[in-house]
Amino acid sequence: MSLFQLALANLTASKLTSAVNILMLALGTAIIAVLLIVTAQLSSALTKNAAGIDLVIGAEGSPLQLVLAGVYHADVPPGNIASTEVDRWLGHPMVASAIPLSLGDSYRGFRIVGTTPEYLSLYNLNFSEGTLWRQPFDAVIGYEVAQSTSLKVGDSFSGSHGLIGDVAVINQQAHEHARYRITGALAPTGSVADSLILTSTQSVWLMHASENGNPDHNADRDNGNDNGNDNDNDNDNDHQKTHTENHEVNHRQNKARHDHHDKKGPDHGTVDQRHDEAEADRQLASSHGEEITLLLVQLSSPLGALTLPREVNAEADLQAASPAYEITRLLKIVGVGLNWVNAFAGILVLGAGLSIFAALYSSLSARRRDLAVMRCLGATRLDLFYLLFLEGFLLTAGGVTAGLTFAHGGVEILSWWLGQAQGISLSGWAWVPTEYLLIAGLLLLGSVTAMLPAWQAYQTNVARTLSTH
Amino acid sequence: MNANDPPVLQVRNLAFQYDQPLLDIDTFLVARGECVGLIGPSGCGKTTFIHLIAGLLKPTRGSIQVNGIDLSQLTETQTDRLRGQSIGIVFQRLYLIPSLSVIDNLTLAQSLSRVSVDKPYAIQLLEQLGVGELLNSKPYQLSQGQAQRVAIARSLAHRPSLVMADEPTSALDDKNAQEAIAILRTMTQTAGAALAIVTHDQRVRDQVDRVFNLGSDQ
Repeated sequence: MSLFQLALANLTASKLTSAVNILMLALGTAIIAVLLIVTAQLSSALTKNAAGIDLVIGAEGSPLQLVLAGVYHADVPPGNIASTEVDRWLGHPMVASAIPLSLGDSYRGFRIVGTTPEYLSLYNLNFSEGTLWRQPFDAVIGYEVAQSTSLKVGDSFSGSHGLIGDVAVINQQAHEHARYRITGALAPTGSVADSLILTSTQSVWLMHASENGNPDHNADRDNGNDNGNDNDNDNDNDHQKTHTENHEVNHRQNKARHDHHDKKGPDHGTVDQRHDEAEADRQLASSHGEEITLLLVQLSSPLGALTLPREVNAEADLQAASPAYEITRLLKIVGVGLNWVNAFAGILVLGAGLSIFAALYSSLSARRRDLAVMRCLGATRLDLFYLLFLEGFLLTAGGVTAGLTFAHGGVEILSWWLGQAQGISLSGWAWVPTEYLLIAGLLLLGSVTAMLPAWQAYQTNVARTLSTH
Repeated sequence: MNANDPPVLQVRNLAFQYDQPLLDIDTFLVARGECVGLIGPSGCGKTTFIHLIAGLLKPTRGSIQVNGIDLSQLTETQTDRLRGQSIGIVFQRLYLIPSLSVIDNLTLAQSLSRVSVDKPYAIQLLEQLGVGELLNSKPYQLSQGQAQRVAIARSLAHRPSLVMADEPTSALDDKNAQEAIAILRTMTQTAGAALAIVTHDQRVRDQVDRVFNLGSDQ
């Protein structure tokens, strides 16, 4: 029967108090640990998805929006730019590569992205089956797309208008006239590319060119207020349909229409294939009337990070945004909110520390006699100190262990629940280095907490205790 | 037992006082294996005497030697060691550790006294005392009589050379008091330890080798 076993026996003898203390500490620990794990995995996922992309060049608007749209596919793009921009910036001495993306359509919530084969090498995408597109309307699907739609190589589907799941208003019409054929399926990468349908830029152009003149085929964006009107083409819902149509009527009255080729739409329209005669002259500005949404740029020299954005931003209607910078900015904004959650968890942890202290201290007066008897049995003062310290330490260690188990289990459950949203896959099995710091800090807190009761135990006056009890 | 061995306990010229003089003992010796009754009225300092011998209190004057070792020469930790290894105490109120089972109370005593934990010996003691089937019981599950037997077993678990019992019979009727002393005697004799019974109970007189009067009537 060692002191360690005695400490354990003492703690289990007062099960309720011990359990409550451990639980309190566990809750505080779990909240802090979840924040650590999630923010670490989130920022590593954000960094991973932006790896290799130094700049995003697109239409003028919010740079964060441009990055979210172009790199993370989590927002609609601010507008379109002329396809001539590709060659222009690709020819720039500071640019190593520039990959065009054309956005605007989706299939069951997965974005259809018109791009070049270089996009696949940017994300190190490999085929699990099939090959790259060879002709217009050939498409390659990401791993998540294949998983949740059961589409496979050889199948065909028709895209619908708008970026479903994001902010876009669509009507019920799909691009039924032209169907995509799947020529390849991609292996999982854990990046945002898993949730994309890739095709050639040309496919997107042809898709929309062939629909010119269809006055009802409109896709508007209403500055983020139309979430409720998002509609999935493959999931008809009468109520929603009516709602969408009503909305569209109002919307048309209030807003200038813009079309697919309009890069200066007042409300940053994404993709629209309708030619508006009033906008025809603007269309002439781009040589073939063809547009892309944005360019993912890799710089040839770090110096470009300074000079190129300045050059791009000097252009009317163009902007360059740095994913690294925008994401740092975003995390900073989110960080302010997280600080409050952290502060709350910190208070919880401190409360748990105080509670452990109170439990030890009050048990001390009840157990003073036992401690005196232990001295009579040969225990030294230091033994008693060690015993009380050990009890505090064990409570803390129990709370920390339980808290970390909750945290990792919780993140794992969260990851199943979320699936792989926007290329961010969480895992409860990964350790964040800062967790070690958390463990060390909490154990220190527990040690400090146990110190005073332990000192009191050390001071036990055996003769007096035994003659007064 | 060697005739040249020092007495288990030698007390010489001992005085102790809190506010006023409490104890004043000229000479008190306990030989190996001897059974002595220290008898005195309430408030004569019996428990204080036990604490002095155990080194838990320092005498105002005089010397105490346990197995020939002068307690005044020892550091506190050394005193703790000596107490743990040489002395076993049966407390008046027994004081078993409530969170531990019967057997764990015994092995804790062994481990705190820094002798090696000898669980078979602990079990043997409990069996000799007729409480061998209560090994895994908690103290609160024991009757008063069972608890006293466990307390006696605990005082012997680390093979001390002197067992001191503080008022072991105060709460017992004549029959049980007699039986308790008999058990203490038998057990300490079997274990080869000397026994000092500190009590105000005159019934103990007949069952001990020798009586030493504590207090004013000395």
